[in-house]
Amino acid sequence: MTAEIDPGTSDTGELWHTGDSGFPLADREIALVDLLDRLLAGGVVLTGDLTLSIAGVDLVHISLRALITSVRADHPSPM
Amino acid sequence: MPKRTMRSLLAAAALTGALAACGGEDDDADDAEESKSGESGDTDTAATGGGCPPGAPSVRLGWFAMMPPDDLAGVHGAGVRLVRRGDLGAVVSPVDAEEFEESSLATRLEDLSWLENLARSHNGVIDWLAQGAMVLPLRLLTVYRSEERIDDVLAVNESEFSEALDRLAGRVEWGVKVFAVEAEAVEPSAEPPADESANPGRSYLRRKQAARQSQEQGWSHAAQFAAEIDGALSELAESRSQYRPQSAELSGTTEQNVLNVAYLVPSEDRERFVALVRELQVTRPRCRVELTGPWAPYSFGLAGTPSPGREAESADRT
Amino acid sequence: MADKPSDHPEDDEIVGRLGRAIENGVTELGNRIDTDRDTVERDLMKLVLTIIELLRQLMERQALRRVEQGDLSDDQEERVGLTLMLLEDRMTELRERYGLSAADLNIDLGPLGPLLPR
Repeated sequence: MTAEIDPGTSDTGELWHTGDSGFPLADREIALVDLLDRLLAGGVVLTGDLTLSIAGVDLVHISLRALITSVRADHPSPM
Repeated sequence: MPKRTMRSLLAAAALTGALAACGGEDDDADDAEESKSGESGDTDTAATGGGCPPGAPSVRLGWFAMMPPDDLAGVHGAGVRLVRRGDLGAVVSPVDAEEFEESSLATRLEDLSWLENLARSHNGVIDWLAQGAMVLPLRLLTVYRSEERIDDVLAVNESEFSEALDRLAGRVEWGVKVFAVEAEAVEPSAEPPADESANPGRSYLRRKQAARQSQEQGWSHAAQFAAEIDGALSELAESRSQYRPQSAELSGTTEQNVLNVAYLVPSEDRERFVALVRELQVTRPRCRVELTGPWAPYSFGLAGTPSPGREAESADRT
Repeated sequence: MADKPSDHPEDDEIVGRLGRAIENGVTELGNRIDTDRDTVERDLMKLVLTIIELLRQLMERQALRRVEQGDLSDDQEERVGLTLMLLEDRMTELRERYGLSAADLNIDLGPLGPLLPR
């Protein structure tokens, strides 16, 4: 049973993300750290078919190089 | 030979009783040709690619399993689809089995740009769906081999999901972070006072000690403010879930994050909550308060053992 | 997790030796890498300097702790302090040479910093 989806009109109200200013931000402006908190440590945990556990992923330890070279805009990754 | 794909589960959603009864959605799907852009104009992802069938009734989705929709990017632009079972729906997106194999995933997770892309498209779907449905977001990288498996998942967890969706209906999540404002750095090149030049090593240590104490004072003030802010906001919130403080490195900031909490707040209390956050910041200029949201209820799904990184979820207050 | 204030008169020697080793190593590396041309090497240099800065901060923090506990003699204090001060100057030099700010190399060492226990 599959179908295309269309959320249609909103019952829960418009969703937007704000910074300190209170103005809505475009999707791209949501801070990565906030996203990763919720996606890696939040969310409902189901036992998927994939056995990889990302619960233990600690971003600070993943790769020093990745942190240094990819996070800062002024030091883009060479790749 | 078709590429082997798996299904990545994004979130769960509850279908409205009306929708399940009328079943009009399936009929409309076949007629879809044009994209329906501007449906959820706030997010970039909704406006790209194909489109939802025009006239499709609104769907209350409790689960999102990932399947390719024409309207949303999904994982790597594969789009999302809906797997329905009764009045529950799962939104899924197909993913390439090789790319999402356990062994290669471990490496990919270290690639922040890959991870960021995945995270943003995942959240894009969640946010878009949350505009029209009660959404239960799932953790990133919940992957199944087939839609049949997802149907099983829906069946097995039906009551838990329904319970969670009922519990979360009409509520949104807000994120609040408190940062210690940086203490003034001691200039390493500053000239030491003349009378200390006899013991430059010791006076260096003393300067560093003074700087460190001032920094620690700043932190302890910030921690105190954080506790006050947390206490005040918890009064307005129905539930609270704490995350590990964020790494300054990853955030690209120099400030120390001393509090990182998600609050579950009824929709109707939204303005009061936001106003309170602003008031708390204004009265505490020595720390920085950052508000994000509203989010779909990432942090308040199924009760259970919090994972590393998410420290505690307070019991719901009634 | 409190340190036991036991007697370790050789600690300042270790700081000195480690400091010198770091200095020599970094100097060598700096001499070999022409970071004007190659961003991969520049990134590598940044990585190396970040790790070294971490070590430097670690040592400095440890030294301050010892000073607070009164573990070191005046003489030891002076020597350790001098070593650390020179190391800091050296690091500043290197940073500036490769166009890196202190923030670029800063690994969170606050009370909640994930890389270091308190």
